[in-house]
Amino acid sequence: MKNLLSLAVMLTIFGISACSKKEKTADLTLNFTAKFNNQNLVLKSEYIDSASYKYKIEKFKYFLSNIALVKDDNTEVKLTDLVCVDYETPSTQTLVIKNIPVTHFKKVKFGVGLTAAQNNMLPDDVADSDPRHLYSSMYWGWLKYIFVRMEGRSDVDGSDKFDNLLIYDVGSDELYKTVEVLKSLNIAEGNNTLTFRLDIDKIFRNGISDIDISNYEESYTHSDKTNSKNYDTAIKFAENFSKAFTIE
Amino acid sequence: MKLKIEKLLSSLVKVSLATVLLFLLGIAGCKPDKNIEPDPNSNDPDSLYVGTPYSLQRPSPSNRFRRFPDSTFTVEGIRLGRMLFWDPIVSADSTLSCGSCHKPEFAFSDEGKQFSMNLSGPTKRNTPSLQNSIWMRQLFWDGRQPSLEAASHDALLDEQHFNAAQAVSKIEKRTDYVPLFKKAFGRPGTITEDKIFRAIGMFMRTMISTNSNYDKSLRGLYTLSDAEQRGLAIFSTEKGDCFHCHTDGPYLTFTNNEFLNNALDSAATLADVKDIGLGKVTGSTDDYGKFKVPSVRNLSYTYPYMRDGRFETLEQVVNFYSDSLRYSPNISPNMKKINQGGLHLTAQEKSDLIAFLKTLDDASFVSDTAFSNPFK
Ligand code: HEC
Ligand code: HEC
Repeated sequence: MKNLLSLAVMLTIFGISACSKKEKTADLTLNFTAKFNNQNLVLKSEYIDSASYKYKIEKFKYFLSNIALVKDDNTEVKLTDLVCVDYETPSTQTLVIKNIPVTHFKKVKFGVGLTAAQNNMLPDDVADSDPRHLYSSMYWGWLKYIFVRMEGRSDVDGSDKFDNLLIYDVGSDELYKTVEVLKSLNIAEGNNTLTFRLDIDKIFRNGISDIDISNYEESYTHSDKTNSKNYDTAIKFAENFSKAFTIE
Repeated sequence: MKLKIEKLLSSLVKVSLATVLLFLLGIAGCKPDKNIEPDPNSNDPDSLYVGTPYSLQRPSPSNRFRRFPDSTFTVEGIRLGRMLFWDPIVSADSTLSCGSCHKPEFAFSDEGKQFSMNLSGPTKRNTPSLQNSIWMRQLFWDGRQPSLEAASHDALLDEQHFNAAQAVSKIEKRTDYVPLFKKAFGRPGTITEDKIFRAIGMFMRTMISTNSNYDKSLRGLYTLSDAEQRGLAIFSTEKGDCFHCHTDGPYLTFTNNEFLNNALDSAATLADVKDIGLGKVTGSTDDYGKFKVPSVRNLSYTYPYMRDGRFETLEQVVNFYSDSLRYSPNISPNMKKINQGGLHLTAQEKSDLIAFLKTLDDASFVSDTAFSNPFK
């Protein structure tokens, strides 16, 4: 059985490589940065937002899915199915993708959160190396995966006590967002980089649908659909979050 | 020509797909009693031994939670582990076994005691349950050990001034143990510290509790009463918001496996924190006062509560979360109403919440004879 398998696999690989025309490829490093006032986010350090509230972020993790580049002829090159970026774990903030065709791309596409199919897989059923693994701390029985998990506290009354919460656990299929960003990208031979930059302040203040962290109802959510205020905050956060990315 | 290659390719793909499928089927179809493969590259003669693999069973709500991490079990290993767990031979003066403090009738906690007695006096912390520890990654209230094996070694060292080498030499003299070690780990049957803790570790991983009324309700075999249902809503919505930390999670253990500060004690600055917990392990002041989030399963058996057993009843626990939260700088953000001192639940809400917590009691777990003292 095993012999037959390896024979079949070898022949298939041989067949494929014999068939494809030689294309030049290169490496592409993806960086996932989070910024506050143009500085890299440092967990647990004090920030002052544009409404002069002090806050600290203690935990910040999120899933991006189906990251792809779009060529000038509109064909797509998928870079990765799913990443979980965690600002406590530097290794999750970069990803090297091999074998990217050397050519010009005009657009970057990605999903914020998990696709319905990805969201339906149980932590039990994925490999330990999958970002959805058993210990990701990104799964609740009733919600499925948490797309974005941000936890911190704020001092909104100037008491110097960080005793107001700042918790956004955002998930559920309806809040999955797809993002397309025009970006002229020339992949050259050798190493290339592409940076997904997230501006934290933009999540809360984008001038369209600000989230007021001094308002209890807007200072947290766990995407509970049975509680309209709680879910409204999740909707707002998911929307703002997906718009807070720039591609560099 | 091109067409031919394509045809050839597509049939090849079919063959290989079919082969892969058949192969996978072959794996999936393996009987649970298939022997564990010996490691051909090992020089250790013991590793060529093949025990009787044991497949863990646990009632599974719906189709979740089928996978067990680190699960290489043998029937013989578990049997030996159970004996070593219950045999006082492991302690320095041969008076205490693991089971002296971790009692199955109390979900492996210590019979309502705030602190257990070790050889030199009371333990520093409350004896925790060992339930569902197969899913735990960092053990002890302060998270100082990364595996069950390391934890059992440490449990003895720390609490009983136990000397593992001494235990090995005592066990070597016991003729009844030598064949058991051979059966569990193969020839030549040498007794080592490592094997002692591996066997105990296998036994502890079988301590799985998933047959409470709540679990049964997920399987459609129990209907929560109105009070229990209301309590569940408090537990798992913003009202009480217990689920953030005591989360059902992917494996229904009712702990998120994290180390957090749940506002038990006040401290103006981190330097004022008296019992530093995780901070002692990581060396980071930011972790001062953070402790393991314990499971809230089997609470009726694991009283008193918290790392120092400060609360004797669930009423006291719920009153604490409702009305007595205390501020310190690194309190978990999930202690939401800290600026109001707590959740301020009504008497009705408190009793509903407790009614729900009690649906996590698993009577079949605490009476399971597979865990009882084999020497009795
Ligand atoms: C004298 C009572 C006593 C005895 C005997 C004892 N333990 Fe414990 N055990 C404790 C206490 C107390 C703790 C908590 C210690 C801490 O967190 O600092 C503990 C913690 C543990 C833990 C960590 C559980 C968790 O969820 O974090 C494991 C595992 C454990 N013990 C296993 C054992 C094993 C195995 C033995 C026998 C080899 C043993 N214990 C003997 C009292 C005891
Ligand atoms: C921020 C996370 C968090 C939240 C939210 C939380 N807990 Fe806890 N819980 C903990 C931690 C941490 C401990 C252990 C603290 C210690 O002993 O130092 C604990 C201990 C307990 C214990 C004692 C268990 C034992 O075996 O000793 C019970 C019972 C409990 N919590 C119930 C609840 C209930 C009910 C709620 C909701 C009202 C709740 N918790 C909310 C983190 C949390």
